[in-house]
Amino acid sequence: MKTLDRRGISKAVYVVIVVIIVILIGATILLGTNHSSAITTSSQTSVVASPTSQTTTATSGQPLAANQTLVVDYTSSPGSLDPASDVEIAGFGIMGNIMQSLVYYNNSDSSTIVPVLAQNYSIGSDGRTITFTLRQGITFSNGDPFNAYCVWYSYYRAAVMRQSGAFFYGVELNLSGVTAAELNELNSSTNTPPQSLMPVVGNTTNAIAVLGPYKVQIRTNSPFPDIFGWMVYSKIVDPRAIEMHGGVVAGQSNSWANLNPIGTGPFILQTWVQGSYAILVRNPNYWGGPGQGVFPTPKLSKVVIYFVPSETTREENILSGSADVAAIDTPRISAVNGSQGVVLPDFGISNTYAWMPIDGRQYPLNITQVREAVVHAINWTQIDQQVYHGLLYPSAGVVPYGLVGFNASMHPYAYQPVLAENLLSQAGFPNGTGMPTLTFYYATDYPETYLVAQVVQADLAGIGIQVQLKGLTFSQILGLDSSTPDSSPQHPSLQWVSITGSPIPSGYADPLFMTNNYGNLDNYSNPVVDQLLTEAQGTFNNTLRAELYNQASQIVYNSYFYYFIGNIRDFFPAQFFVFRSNVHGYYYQSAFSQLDFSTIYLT
Amino acid sequence: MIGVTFITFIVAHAIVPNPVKAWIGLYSNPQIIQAYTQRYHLDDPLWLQYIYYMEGLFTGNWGISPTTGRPVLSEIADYFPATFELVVFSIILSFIIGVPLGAVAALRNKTKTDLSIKSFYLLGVSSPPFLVALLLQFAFAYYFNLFPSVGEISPNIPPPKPITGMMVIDSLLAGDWPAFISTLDHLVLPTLALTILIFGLFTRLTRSAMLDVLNKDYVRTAKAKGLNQYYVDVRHALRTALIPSITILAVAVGQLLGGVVVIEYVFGWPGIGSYTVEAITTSNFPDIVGVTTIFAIGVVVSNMVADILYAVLDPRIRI
Repeated sequence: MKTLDRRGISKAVYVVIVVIIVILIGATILLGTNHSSAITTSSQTSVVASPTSQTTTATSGQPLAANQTLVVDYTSSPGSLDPASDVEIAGFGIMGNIMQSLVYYNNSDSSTIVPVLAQNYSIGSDGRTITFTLRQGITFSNGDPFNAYCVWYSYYRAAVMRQSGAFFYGVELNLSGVTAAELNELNSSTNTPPQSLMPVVGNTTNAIAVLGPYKVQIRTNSPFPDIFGWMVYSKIVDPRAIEMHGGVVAGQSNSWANLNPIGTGPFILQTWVQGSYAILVRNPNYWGGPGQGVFPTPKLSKVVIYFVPSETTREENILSGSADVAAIDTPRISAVNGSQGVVLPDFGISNTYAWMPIDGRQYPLNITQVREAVVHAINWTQIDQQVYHGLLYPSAGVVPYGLVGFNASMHPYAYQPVLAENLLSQAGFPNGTGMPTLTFYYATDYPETYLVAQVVQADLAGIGIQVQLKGLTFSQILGLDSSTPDSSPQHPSLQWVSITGSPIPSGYADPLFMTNNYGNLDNYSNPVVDQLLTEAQGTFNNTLRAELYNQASQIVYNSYFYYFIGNIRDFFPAQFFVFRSNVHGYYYQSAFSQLDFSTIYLT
Repeated sequence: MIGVTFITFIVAHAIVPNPVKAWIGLYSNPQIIQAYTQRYHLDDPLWLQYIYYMEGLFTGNWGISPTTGRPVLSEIADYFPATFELVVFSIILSFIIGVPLGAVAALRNKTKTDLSIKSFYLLGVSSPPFLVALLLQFAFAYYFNLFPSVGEISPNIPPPKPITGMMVIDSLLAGDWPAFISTLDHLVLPTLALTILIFGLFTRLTRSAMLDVLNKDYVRTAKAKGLNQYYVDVRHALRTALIPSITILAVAVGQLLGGVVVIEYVFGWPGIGSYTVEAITTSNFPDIVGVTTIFAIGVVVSNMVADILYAVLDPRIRI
């Protein structure tokens, strides 16, 4: 009987339920009324300059405000904020505001490299040796001093760790000859190595050699004028901070450094809730200042970066004013641009270069006439108007718009469906008869690529070529490219690709068109092109470079291995950025990946 | 469990056999590719890779995430509590809403009230999660401006020191009231969205159980004895009818752990769903297998809890 009495729910459960209901109702009422003060956006913060800030005037003439907060909606959270580990856009967008390199572009001026942590530099007569004299008196945000040893440590640390970030540090540099143990000897509060390490640090046969506490020499494998374009990504880290948190282990990343970036830059990372938001605050000890070139003392006191994967949420946030800046996907930019209080700035033609590799090893695309038929069957204007809202710039060739070697007279292939049909017939596939179905891989994380794929599918169907569309993320497509033989049917016949690199010609021409290079997704190979590109990347004579790149462009263009889409206007690497109309001072620089907050201010 | 890890491991490799480029992106050189290949045994046959992985799993080494460079287990420990918190609050709210509605529907069987409640929960259950989340967000975050649209806590408030990883609980334990209010504030909309989607489960179960109980002899006897109608409905009928709903609580936790992805996506909730999506998009098999293993453990444990609860609540099935 006792057991039966205990069957069912006791009074206590009812009491608990009632209490929970009361708490929830109470909390909802309370939170609902408090909400307006819980979230601070730019419109709610003071922009009145304090007496202190009035004494400091920015280069733009705008007074430094005491309490300006910028709210930004990015799409994804970084995986790591250690430059030796990370190569993502999301990571560089934050790191670039915290850490600095020896040199950088003069804001939006891609033709001028200016010293940042360097005071000045000189290039040796061999074209390989660059000697940097560094600024003195700079400290990292934690107070540790910056000097030439930090530069040496940063480069070799990345090489020893062998993570993906090592790529940027190692372009045209032979970073061998230093071990993890030697790096870990650089562990002092002054960031100065012990005497025992000096022969290694100062070894001038190495790619990086310290010539003095504020003088460092970098020696490339061969003459390489574009080295500065890669150095902008090579951020200088604080050896002392890293040595206090695990140091350097060969072949391993440092978990602490992944989450705790310490730099010399204008901002410091205050909070990072992974997957949710990051807060950057002005570095109170920042060495830069008004009138000292790029990366001035920030006018913003705080930047709140939300990681919002949902396009709809980002749109709503920028339209409602909950965000000051938001990343917007290509298919939606036309709808968002021009909304009340929202601006898509005229950044001009970006360095984002889009194209479609055609797998010329796969039957029947290995027949030149078939590839030629394909490129002439695709309506570029339709892609421009219907997918990119007229924001495409019709560039083609091995070097995109605006860089040395760009050929302004070379455009995407003309839309000539009749010619395409004839070529297909000549290749033995009249009206597509006998043609196997091609596979087009579009990137599901770039929604515009599905629209491009649909245009291509319809256009090729017009001449009798059937195309099957398959969607994978861009990363997965890269993985598929490298893990399936290009002659196999599993390899993408056609795919959409874009690259946004540092504005240097070899940053596009070499990886995309050189044999076995990392961005050469359809494994295009032509020894003549390789030779031209190698010569071009090694010469300081811009006239000669342009001519060499132009010759390479002509060969590639006439091979029909690539359908060139062109450069995209106003575009950042992955999306467009729209701003509330009270946000000012922003600029576009492709090497920055996202936004340089040091120049931005609110009114 | 071994089956789950095996299937997940195979499937994770099916789309992209060699995921190195998916992990490190376009920018790479042969040395880096070689380093990753060696680190993750990618040159070895798949079965051998699996053995390496399982060896690590059993020794507590779940591997290093190739995209973040951090230990997988540590990352899961960072992301999982946010999801667990969301799921638990949603389950509680669903129970609170769903059970009374189910009881009322049973007591007003085949009336307009019953039909209305049925329509209400069917609407919730059959609604696309994306739509529900966006509608709530639009109405309460943008139109009425009552709740924040994204995140787990306001950036203006320092997050509480992690104890359980669940910010509401941690802020409560720390006595950090501003953080507590802020985390609750952020929890409302995603919880409500998830609740709308699942409360029908409890309503339907309670209704059918209640209808069954109301026809039992002992209920009729109670009524015949002249007991108060409310007393009979609540103490005799609902009390017994609650048993299936209580036990389904635990099962629902297991199911929901894997089903909150869309809600997390829309509300920018930093949970395991977002983490899993990120892992899948980069063919990051150490993360994928790690998360799947955690989910599998979650389902197994929640089913075990359900069995125990059932035994506690219904003495007839005790051994």
